[in-house]
Amino acid sequence: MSRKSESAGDFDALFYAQYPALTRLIYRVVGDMGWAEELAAEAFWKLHREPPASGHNLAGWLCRTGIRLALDNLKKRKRRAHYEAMAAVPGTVENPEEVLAQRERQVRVRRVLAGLKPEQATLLLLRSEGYSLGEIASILYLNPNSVGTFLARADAAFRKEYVSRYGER
Amino acid sequence: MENDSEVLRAWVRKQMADLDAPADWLPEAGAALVRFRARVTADRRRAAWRRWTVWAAAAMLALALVWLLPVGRVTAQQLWQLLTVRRVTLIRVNPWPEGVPSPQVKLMGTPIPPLPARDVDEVRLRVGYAPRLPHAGVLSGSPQFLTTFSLSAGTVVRAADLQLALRQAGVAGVSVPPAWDGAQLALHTSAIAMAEWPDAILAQSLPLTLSAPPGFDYAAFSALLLRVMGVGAEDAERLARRMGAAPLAPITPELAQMADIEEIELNSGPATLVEQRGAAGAPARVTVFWSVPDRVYLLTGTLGRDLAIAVANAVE
Repeated sequence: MSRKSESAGDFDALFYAQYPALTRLIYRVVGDMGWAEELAAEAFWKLHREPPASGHNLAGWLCRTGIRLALDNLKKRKRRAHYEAMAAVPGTVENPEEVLAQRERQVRVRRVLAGLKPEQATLLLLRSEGYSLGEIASILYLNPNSVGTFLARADAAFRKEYVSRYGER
Repeated sequence: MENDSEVLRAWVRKQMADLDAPADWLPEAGAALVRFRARVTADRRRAAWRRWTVWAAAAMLALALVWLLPVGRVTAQQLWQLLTVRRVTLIRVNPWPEGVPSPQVKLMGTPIPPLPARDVDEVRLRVGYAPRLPHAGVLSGSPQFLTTFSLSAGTVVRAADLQLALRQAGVAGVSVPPAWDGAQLALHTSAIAMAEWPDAILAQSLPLTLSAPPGFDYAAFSALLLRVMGVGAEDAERLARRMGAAPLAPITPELAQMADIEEIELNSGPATLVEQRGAAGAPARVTVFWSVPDRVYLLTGTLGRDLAIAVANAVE
């Protein structure tokens, strides 16, 4: 989708198709709905301003760009702590102690993700969001037969980073 | 081994599951797209406005160049003489004679889009002087700062065309010195500092500089151009002598139809105000061009005539 050839209709269709999934994916990294929406819009903005030369696999490009933006923001932004504190805890937690414990676990996991190589963090995020091995291969331009190997390495890297930060738990 | 791998995968999955978004949350693409489109529109408007300001500065530069009037000093030792242009004065003239090539003023290079700057200090570092702004309270909000490189516009004198223009205009007894043929004149800004508010941009440069071949007689050249454009001999000589280092901006009937152009008086001295009528329903664009001994300013925007004058008067 070059800027010249980009039609508003094509772009809008892509936006409708990809925005919800991209926003949920980014939410995993930042843990705040508003922030996730902001970053998803930023990924589309980058696509609009500087579209990839090939114009193919734009959904994959958006995923990679969105996750990279989210991880960069997670590392940089001082308001991280603020957002983490404000973030609603999803799921089935029942009481304040459980809410607090889940929040602490989320903080830990996000810090571990931020400490990984971006490619490995992206692999884990895509898998946890329910993308198939084939979809992950397409998004990251990997050989489908190698995705399992890369995921196993990412698992090991996650575990190593987690243990180095928080010990065996 | 396989078992270890599965245990590890299950453990990582469990950790990652803590990051799940609420199951019932579906981000609203429609509303997000509306916001996105608004951002695109605002960005296009802003970019167009910035380009307009640079081109307006360039156009003013080009306009000024053809109408350079005399200056006293000529530094014959220099390969090019450099003169400082401090003021532009409006004069209403006839159109250039039909069928005669008029002096072609061309920009040297293409103006590049302005580059955003963090603050006044970064602007100062880039352009080499401290930008001046209207004092607080005249325009609301803080401006965004931008800079762009210097602009230059130039023309080459064609003696034969000038001679033909004089004849067509019915001017007798005046001849174009053959030495003028091929003389290159160019006008230059310094690096330009810009401050952008939602409905106005203030651009500024150090005084414009003229370069021309040594010994080039601006007084005679300018008087000759004025004669071609219908100014009488005495008036042309008088204006040429009076203007010193200031060029004249010619207001032809065609130009007068495109916009309201007037000379106004600011606290710092005379200024040129151009009011372009907007398309149906669109606000008019007001541009004010003025100078002080060490700075040339261009203020443009849809802020209205009175506010534009107030802002120009508030620059300090």
